[in-house]
Amino acid sequence: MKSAASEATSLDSSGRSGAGRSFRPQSRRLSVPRADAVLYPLATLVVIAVVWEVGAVAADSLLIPTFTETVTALGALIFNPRLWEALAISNQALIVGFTIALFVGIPLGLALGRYRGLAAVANPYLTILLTVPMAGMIPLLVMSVGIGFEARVLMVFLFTVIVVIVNARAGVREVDPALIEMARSFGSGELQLWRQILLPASVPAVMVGVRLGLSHAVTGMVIVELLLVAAGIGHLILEYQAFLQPGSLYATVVVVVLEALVLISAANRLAQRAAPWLEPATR
Amino acid sequence: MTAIRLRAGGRPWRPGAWAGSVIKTGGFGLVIGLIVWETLGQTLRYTFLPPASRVAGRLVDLVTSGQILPALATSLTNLALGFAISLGFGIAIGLGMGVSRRLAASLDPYVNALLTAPSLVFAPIFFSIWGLGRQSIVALIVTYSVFVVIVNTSAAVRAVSSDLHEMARSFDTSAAQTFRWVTLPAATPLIFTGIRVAAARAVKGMINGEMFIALIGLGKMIQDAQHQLDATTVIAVLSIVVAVALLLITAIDRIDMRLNGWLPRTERGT
Repeated sequence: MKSAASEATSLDSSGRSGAGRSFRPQSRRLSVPRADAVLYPLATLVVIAVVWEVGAVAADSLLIPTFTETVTALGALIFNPRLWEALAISNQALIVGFTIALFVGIPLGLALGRYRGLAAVANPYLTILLTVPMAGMIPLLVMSVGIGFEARVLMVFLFTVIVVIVNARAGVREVDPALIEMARSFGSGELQLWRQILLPASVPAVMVGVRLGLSHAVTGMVIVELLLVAAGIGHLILEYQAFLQPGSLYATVVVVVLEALVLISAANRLAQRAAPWLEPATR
Repeated sequence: MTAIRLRAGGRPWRPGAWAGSVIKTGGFGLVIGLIVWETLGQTLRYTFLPPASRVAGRLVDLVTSGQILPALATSLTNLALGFAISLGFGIAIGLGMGVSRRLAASLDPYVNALLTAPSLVFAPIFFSIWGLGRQSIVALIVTYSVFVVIVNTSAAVRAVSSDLHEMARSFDTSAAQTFRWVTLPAATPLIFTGIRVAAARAVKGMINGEMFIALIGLGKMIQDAQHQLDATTVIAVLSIVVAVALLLITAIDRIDMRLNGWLPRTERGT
């Protein structure tokens, strides 16, 4: 729940008209008893499994595995060294591209939040880059860096960096002006202002960017492997598709989704660690 | 809130009122960008960086020759179908989850998982079910856009102030009346936030589906141009895609203003 809301606001803060509709879900939070929080999702899973099983049997297609086939394939896949090799290959590009995106995106975003002149020049581009489907850039990528490791890294970078910039920018922009005024009136210089006010205050927003960036990075990683460079996990998916192993295909998709979820919950943990002095609502 | 948001962190910056107004509109930045792009394109002569003027020329060609029209029509049909389904299901499920604690508990983990997961990985699954048809692309567009609508809609319903509910109850309204006249109007602004994000995502789903599942529409034009190492056409088509997305978002904003314009500014959060 939190993630989408923050995504919505982060996209909003790109300078679009509805800048930062904030909402406070705690006002009428429907509390769910602990057991129900486990039981209800389980019930949903059972419903999905039954519908899937019946539907797949009814469809009787070579391409559509049943639920049980997929679960079996998933079990086999986890012990298949090829999966782990593929994950390792994919994640190399993810780690490199994501790290570069953070090192470029966070300082750039912070600067854009502080210096209006710079922001005025950059804002229209950020709006365009937020809407442009990055997959459409793949042809330009091929023409510039070919179809190797660089292309994968660059794609992950492109997918990640925009959302990191936009959120870092929002972080600095939304610092309470009273704090800045106070610091100024006590005679703080620009450097001191950054160190003691702007940077600490923008950490939560920056972390939102890091988290969203991570989810975008995983998307970029998979997209480039499916559309351009048949490497890693993307290669595995295409192979299972070509050799009509639908169970393994579906299981690989599940693995990708699981990886995304694990990474994002790790980033969430990190975000809570990084800015414990601020209310969770602002994260 | 608005004033604070816009001012915050901004150093007073007054390079003369006229320059300020040009710069504020963002047009200034675009002009600089175009000049830099043109110069680099003319001097470096990389295949992947054709000069801006050539891209503009190609764009005009594509439009005036009518070459773009069939592709655009196909893509827009996919987009319209996918986005309409997303809105229908998204708002219905979201409202349900906002009202019913049980439904929310049942679906929450799955909706959140699918929202953060890379949507394109589902393309092979749709392909296995529907083959190369339009259904696969529409399904992908729905996967891209429906979850953000669900999440924002249910959050919107839950975020409706309990004061409003109390007030309604004290006027002795029925549950249905409260939903129709209190909950729904109060939730629309946040629902629209979800819809706006969903629009951008739907356009991405459309292009990705057309490039990956079935080569049709604008996605096919991009792929074809890639095979001919024709960066000019790639950028021209991409700019059309961006235009479609921005137009869609503007239209949504218009409707948003229409529906929510009566709210006080603080409630709209704009």
